[in-house]
Amino acid sequence: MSAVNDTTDAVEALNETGYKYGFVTDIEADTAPKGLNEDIVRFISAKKGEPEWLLEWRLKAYRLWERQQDEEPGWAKVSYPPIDYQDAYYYSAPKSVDRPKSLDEVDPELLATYEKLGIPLHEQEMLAGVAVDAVFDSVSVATTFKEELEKAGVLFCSISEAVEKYPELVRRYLGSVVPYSDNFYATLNSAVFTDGSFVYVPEGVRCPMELSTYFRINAANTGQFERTLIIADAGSYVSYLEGCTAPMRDEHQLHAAVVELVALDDAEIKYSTVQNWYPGDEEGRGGIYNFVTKRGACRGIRSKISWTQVETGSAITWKYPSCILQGDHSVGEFYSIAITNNRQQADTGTKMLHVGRNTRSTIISKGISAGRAQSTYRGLVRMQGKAGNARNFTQCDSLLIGDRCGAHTVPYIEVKNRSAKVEHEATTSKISDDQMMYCRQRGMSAEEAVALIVNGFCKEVLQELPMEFAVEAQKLVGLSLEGSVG
Amino acid sequence: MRVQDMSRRITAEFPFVERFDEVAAGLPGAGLHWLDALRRDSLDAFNRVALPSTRVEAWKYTNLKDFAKTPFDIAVSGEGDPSVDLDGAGAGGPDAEHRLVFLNGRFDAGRSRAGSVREGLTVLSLGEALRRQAQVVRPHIERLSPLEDEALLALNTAFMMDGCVVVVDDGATVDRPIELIFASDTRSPTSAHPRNLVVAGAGSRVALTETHVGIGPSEYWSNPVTEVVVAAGASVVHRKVQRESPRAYHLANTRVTLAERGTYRAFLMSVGAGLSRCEIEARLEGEGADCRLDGIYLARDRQHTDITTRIVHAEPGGSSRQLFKGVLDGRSHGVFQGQISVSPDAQRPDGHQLNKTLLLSNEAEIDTKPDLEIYADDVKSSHGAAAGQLDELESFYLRSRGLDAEEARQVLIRAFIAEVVEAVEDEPFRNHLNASIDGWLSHEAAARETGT
Repeated sequence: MSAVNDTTDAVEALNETGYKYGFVTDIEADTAPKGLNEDIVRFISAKKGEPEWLLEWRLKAYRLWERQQDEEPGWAKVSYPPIDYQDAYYYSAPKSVDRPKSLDEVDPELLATYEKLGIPLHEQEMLAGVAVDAVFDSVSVATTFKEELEKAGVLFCSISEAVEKYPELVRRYLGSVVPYSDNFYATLNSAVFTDGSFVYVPEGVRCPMELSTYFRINAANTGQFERTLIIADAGSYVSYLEGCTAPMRDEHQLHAAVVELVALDDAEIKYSTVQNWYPGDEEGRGGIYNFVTKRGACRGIRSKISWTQVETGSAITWKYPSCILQGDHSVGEFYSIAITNNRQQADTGTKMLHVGRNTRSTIISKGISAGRAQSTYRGLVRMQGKAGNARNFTQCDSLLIGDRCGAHTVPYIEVKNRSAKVEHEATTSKISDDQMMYCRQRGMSAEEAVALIVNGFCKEVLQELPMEFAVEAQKLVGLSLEGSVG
Repeated sequence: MRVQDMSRRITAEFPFVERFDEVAAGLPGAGLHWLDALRRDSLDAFNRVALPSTRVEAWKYTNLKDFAKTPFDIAVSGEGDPSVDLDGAGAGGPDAEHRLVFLNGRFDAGRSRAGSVREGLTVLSLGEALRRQAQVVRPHIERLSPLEDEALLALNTAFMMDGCVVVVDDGATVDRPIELIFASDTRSPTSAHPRNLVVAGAGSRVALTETHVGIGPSEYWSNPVTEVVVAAGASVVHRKVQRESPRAYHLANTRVTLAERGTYRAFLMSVGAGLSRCEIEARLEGEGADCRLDGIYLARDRQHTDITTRIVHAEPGGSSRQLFKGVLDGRSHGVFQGQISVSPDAQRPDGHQLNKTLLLSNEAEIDTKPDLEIYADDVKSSHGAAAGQLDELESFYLRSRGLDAEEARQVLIRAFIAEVVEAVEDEPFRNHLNASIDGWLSHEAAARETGT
């Protein structure tokens, strides 16, 4: 009985507190009219004062997207009502004439929003040595630690700023990993992306700090179309952190971001994500649609790209951070925790495309389903004909909590080279009564026990996260599963 | 559902489909109203859904585009060389009691052999069963027909020519295997649509050995559908060898349902055909049902071999095991797709799957897609997949003990598939498999020597 009581209490407590980050800030937005057409694309481009080539690129993407209307991907194990792409706003910028040069110039209401979200910028500057390029709605408003980065030669700014200041770099790499024709959502993003982050780490430089950006979604009915581009030149290293929360909404919100990573010879990029956007309520009303294209190209020899993700939020997650291992001896890694509760749906995994010789990849995926949630691991490992001696190891484990959720594993393995070696293992299980009994015996509540066991289940992935994130992520793992046991 | 755009479909214009009315009049059971209506509905379903393109998830790795361009007609009765001896063709060996031979999809009474009449066992051709016991056949044929999105199954129902009907009464034991031989011998591209039905009554035991074989270099298409019904506590052993001609298409569908404590053991060897796909679906619909699927696939040159399985744990306490191993050489293409699906109420299932492939050449390709679909929480389920080449070190070890390179290679390939073959309990069948594997390996060796 006590377990039942605990659960009831926990559920009630959760309902009372509700979603901690659910609130709307009222800021006058500079908004484009509803709907999507060539004029809107031109409007966005003009608003941002973009060069002709970028407008042309956007228009090519838009025209392709328009032709593909019937080809919205349908293969993922997720279901949702059709999205009316004309019933959304594609541009909204916080009211601001010039970009603020310091925090003092930032709209005080914006700063208050950050306070509510628990990321006071001043504190963060001192605390962790993290440079924050905070994205509010679609335009970057504050960038810190710029000077120190500049000293090292690292370019870290919003992508709009990069278009202005480093057009040759952007033109060379934008769309080189995720072309505008890549997939339905990436094409949409290419046409209407508003902002995002740009990082360039020059040859031989080890970025002196973890780079971080926080995404927020604000202004009702604004889809977010972030575009991130990170280039690590020969022999350089960078670790990039991405984390996000979003205000509570009744209507679904679409988020279709594109992230492109390029690692040249001997370069290494570590990209970590903690995603806890609003997942909708217990009955699945509201919540974010997270349809993201993330891909990294290991172009150089001995280059390395490592993706680590903790996915706990969003109503629907459709996300496959991938590595194209072109350079000989290059390495790709994917560490993932996907937690779904209530009526959340996640179809996530990775693609490891082995092109070069002696390329190696590791995939560790932990999926946890509770309530009525559906969680799918979908991953591709492809060994191309020239990928001699390439290696892959994949492990996918699923944990089910409750008898009305689903956990699915769909790996795709394509091998065209006989000296390549691929190994895949997958298991599905539940939390055993023995484990629970052991923890309860020692005075832990059912909730605490589940959080502990699940954290243990996820340990291999959690330990890949940078320190700042690891602590937050562990708490999040416990929080996401509240109300799921009894 | 989503918009179904035309890129998901391949439109085929097979001459025999166009001539449906004329062809159907000569098929078994013509004149039975329910069957005539069913054939017509199935034809409409085929025309509506058309063949799947590679945009359809389940057909992602098997492309029917070239197949759809072949002007298939239906085999004319009596075609084929009457002097061809099929005695040694079957995998059942001399031990088989009943033997049913189908040539180009039609029952060949002359080559068949009826075993002794025994209590509790009925073995008939489908044509005969429709004449004599239509009421036994009807519910099964009707049950399989209304499936959406199954173009090949619909076409089989529209054109089912003949096949075997095996009914084992409750509690009966058939101790010697029943042998089925499907042979093809045609001059122009023809298609055959055999339909088999196996019903094992409560507590009964029966074994079947099914062989598909091509005679000469003919180009044809075999589209067999086999339904197996395993009643409570019954046990069915189903072995199949696919040795079609190098230019043949073999697209087979096996549907199995198991009631409580029913067991189904299947073994599949796929070695022939230019393009083959063997689909097996087993539904564990009773508590404690037990299903085991094993198989090997050997391919070379430009062969395409696809094994697609789906095991549905619909009731609690079921167990399933799958072990498939393949050896690919030349420019061949292997596909293994294995789904284990556990329904919400099917607690405590135990489902395991393993697929391993050996690649002998740099042009060969394996695409494997295991798929766990789990809706229950008290589950023990796992799958594994691996692909690689022969181990240099192991080869060196054997050669250092006096084997030449070719011998060492053959020993290692044999060892790789031995795990699957050794698990076959029936000795004559195991011998038949070993002989087939030997034949395949020596062809390999010869091809390597001549450098082709």
